[in-house]
Amino acid sequence: MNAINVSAVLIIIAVGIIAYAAALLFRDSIRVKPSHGMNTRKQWLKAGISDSLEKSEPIHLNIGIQNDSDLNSGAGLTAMTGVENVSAQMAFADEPWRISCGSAGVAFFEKDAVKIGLDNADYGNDFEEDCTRYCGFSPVLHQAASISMNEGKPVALHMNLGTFGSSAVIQDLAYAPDERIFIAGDDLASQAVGLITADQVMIGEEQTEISGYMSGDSETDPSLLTMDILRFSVLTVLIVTALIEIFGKTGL
Amino acid sequence: MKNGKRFLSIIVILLGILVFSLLIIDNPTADILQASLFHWAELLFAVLLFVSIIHFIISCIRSPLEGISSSVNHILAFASFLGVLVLGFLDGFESPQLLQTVLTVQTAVETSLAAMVSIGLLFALYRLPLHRITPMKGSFLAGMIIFLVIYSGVLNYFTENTIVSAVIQLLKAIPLGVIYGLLIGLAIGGLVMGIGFIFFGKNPYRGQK
Repeated sequence: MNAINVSAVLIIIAVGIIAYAAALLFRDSIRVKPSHGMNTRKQWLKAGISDSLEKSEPIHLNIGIQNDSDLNSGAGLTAMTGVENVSAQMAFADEPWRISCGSAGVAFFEKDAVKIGLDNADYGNDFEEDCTRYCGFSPVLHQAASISMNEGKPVALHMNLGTFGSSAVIQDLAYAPDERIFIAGDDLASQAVGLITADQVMIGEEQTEISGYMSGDSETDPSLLTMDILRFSVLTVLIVTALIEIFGKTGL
Repeated sequence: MKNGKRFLSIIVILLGILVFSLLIIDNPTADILQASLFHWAELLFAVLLFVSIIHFIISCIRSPLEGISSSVNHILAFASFLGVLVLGFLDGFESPQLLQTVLTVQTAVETSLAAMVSIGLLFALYRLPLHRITPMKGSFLAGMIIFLVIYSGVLNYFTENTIVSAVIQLLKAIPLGVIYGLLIGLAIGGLVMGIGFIFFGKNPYRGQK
């Protein structure tokens, strides 16, 4: 990397840190703007978890990290935090969750996420070593293996986190209509498929906001506030740049 | 124990900073160190893959015996594993015949699953306007139809009209802009998440009980 790229990277990280610090300091003053459907999705997710507790049906966490190098991607971190969050919220349930993973490395590290989640909820003694299941690295075979894992057993909510491609549509065929399907994929194919098959889908950067949605005080969550600050800043810059470009070309 | 975890966390963070530094430093020694670290990580994941496959096979054996779930899927998975293992030891794992057999079976299975994906997508598209329509999904469906029409070539008959031609060019440029927007959003989301965890000790579970 040459000097210009290093500077750009460090500047972007610095801007992110400043924005996050500002959100943390002023979180009681700034309220999270409800970006399209945020409140609906938050309510839907909480309803899915409540449903699972009331019906004593587990939540199926389907982690679709296909390459082990993607473990350190945004999707990988989203999957980890999602598992940790669900583990904490569902810790006291009779059959809290089933976790299927498309990567051996993820299956290994997700155990730590489960352990941390249980510890946070003071249920650390309930941790079991075989809480996660490796279901194969091919996206389509992973879906098939995770479906066979759930065969004959009702599930309240299928949370798909990671990278799936179009194979996620198999779930719509395999699962009962009353089983909720939620897709938070970082690849464009799974987002498009989620729009036509899933009950709820996260588009673009929304998939990194899941832990904020599922936290107790999402309206003052610093990460959601920072996302709003950066989101609207980038949008403003893009619109201003486009207007300058248009008026520059027309000579106005 | 807590001090031990804190010490390990500090080691991990320092390693992460070291790897990041090696990526931006242009130096032969740094390149060698970086390559060594990545090679070590690859070996680690290879071991994890081996352990995960063994764990999967053990659960395939255990689940039907304990009556936990359906036998057929697990017996098939175990039988496939056993068959490839036995043939591999008999013929050698590099045997072209074994590789061809495995590839043939895998291709057949994945092709049928891909066909199921195609059928599923068509069925979901049919069902969407009947049962599951929302503004977002409706917009997606409308956009899909518009772009099918545009790229079908039907509108080529109207390209002499400058307004129609300009509108078509604009519509064709929109998907690329949307993709750029999505990628920028994903990058921002990953950055904010990483900053929250690394610099501000964000806990994904906020203690809701």
